[in-house]
Amino acid sequence: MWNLIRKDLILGRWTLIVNGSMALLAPFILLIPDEPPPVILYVLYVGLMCTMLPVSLIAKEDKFSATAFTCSLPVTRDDIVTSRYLGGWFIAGGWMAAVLALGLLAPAVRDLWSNGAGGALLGGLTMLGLTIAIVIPFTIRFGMNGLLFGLVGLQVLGMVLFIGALATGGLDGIERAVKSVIDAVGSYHERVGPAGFAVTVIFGVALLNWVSWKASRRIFRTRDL
Amino acid sequence: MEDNVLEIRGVHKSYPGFTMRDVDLVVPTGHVTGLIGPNGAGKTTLVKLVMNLITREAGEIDVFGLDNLLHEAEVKARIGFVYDEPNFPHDVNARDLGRAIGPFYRGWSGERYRRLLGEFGIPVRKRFKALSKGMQMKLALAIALAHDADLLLMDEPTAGLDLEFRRDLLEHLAAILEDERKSVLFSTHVTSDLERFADFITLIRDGEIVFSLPTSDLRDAWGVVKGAADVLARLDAPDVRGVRTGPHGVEALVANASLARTKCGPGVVIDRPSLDDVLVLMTRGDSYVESH
Repeated sequence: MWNLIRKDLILGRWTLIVNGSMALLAPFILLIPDEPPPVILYVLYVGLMCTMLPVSLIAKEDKFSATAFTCSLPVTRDDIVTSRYLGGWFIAGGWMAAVLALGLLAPAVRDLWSNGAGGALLGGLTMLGLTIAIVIPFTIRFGMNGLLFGLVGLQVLGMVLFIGALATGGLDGIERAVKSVIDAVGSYHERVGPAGFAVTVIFGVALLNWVSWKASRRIFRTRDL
Repeated sequence: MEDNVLEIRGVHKSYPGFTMRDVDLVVPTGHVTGLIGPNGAGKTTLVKLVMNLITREAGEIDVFGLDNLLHEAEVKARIGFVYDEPNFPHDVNARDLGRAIGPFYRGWSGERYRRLLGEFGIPVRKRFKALSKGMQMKLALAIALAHDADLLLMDEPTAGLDLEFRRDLLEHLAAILEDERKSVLFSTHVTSDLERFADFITLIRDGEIVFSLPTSDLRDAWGVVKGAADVLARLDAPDVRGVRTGPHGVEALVANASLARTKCGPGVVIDRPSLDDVLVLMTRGDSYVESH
């Protein structure tokens, strides 16, 4: 397992260095506007950039058709999938923590953290977990091209639905649905308190990752290379 | 030690336009088995099935006496695998690959790997993308040979290699096989590579194993009968494995050259078949019925 993560770190180090540097730019990009952004936006941005690191490793392997080489190593396909998830959390989570810590060196970033640090960190963690859980199975099955087509397809679908809702007057219904979800989350937060809410979110993200991992194993076992 | 390093029983795999059905194959321990067949016959499919790079639909594959799916990691740890098209990330070099791959194998020797890179003339720090196709294949070979594998599973390993290196490689493999525990399954359509090197020859055609025989049987017992078209009438139909009709007469591949010699009498030439003759006559020749 650790040999697989180690292999990815050695063979993908330049990809990691280049993409990882992008995350380091987050404080500079977000502090350009006169009005500083909420800290959660800053954390979500860093989280998104960091989640792309493990995804880029899988995509790189797919791009060079090197998945067959990985599968020829003395490991099982299940090992490979598990290493994608563990490596994903290790690389994305580790780099996110490092970038956020490095950001504290900038006084302006320290000011951002003065309001709502706990919620922002929970938001970052959720974003990391959701992205890993959704993107990894998709990339394992369809590769980088499939991921890109999928993202473009989702955007197109969103636009079509939006236009359709506008045309049929259903936009209010969508707004009401979104608002009711936000209200439900808010009331749950009030009922269980911040600690209970954090535990629920972490449990939900972990459960989603477990389901995603199981699905990825099933997908990868039957993939012909 | 198992008698057979690889046993394939009743394996089935299908793609659109191609079906491999009920394939049985045995690769004896301590020998070189050459897998020959025209392009698209199923050689790569068979090798990929052994490595579980593609999923089988039916059948069993045992390597070192172990099921290749139930004991996947254990089995692969003892296989040196060369893919017909080595695919490593393009921006890595031989040094990176050695560092990344070495820890997977108990028998990996960094010293042996460096020596092989030197012998094969592979620049250690040159990126994979910048290597020629032949050099890329040599790098894949160096990786396969660096961990003292018990079974070398090679799919078209000499593709893109010059004649001199191909000869060196075969000598290298022959040296490895002095250890009687080592075995090689070597798939190729360059039959001359196997002529002197292989102990057993397996011919695959349209996803089916046509035969699997000791090379000595092919060399000593089989023959190519050359003569006028009427020579076919004198041969036993079950003995004729392939026929090619040309402007100067017919060539018939027979499994029993001495019987054919008796049947045909003097005036008919019967040569020892080369593997190329076998491959061409059995896969691209005319059918005996049509010719006869």
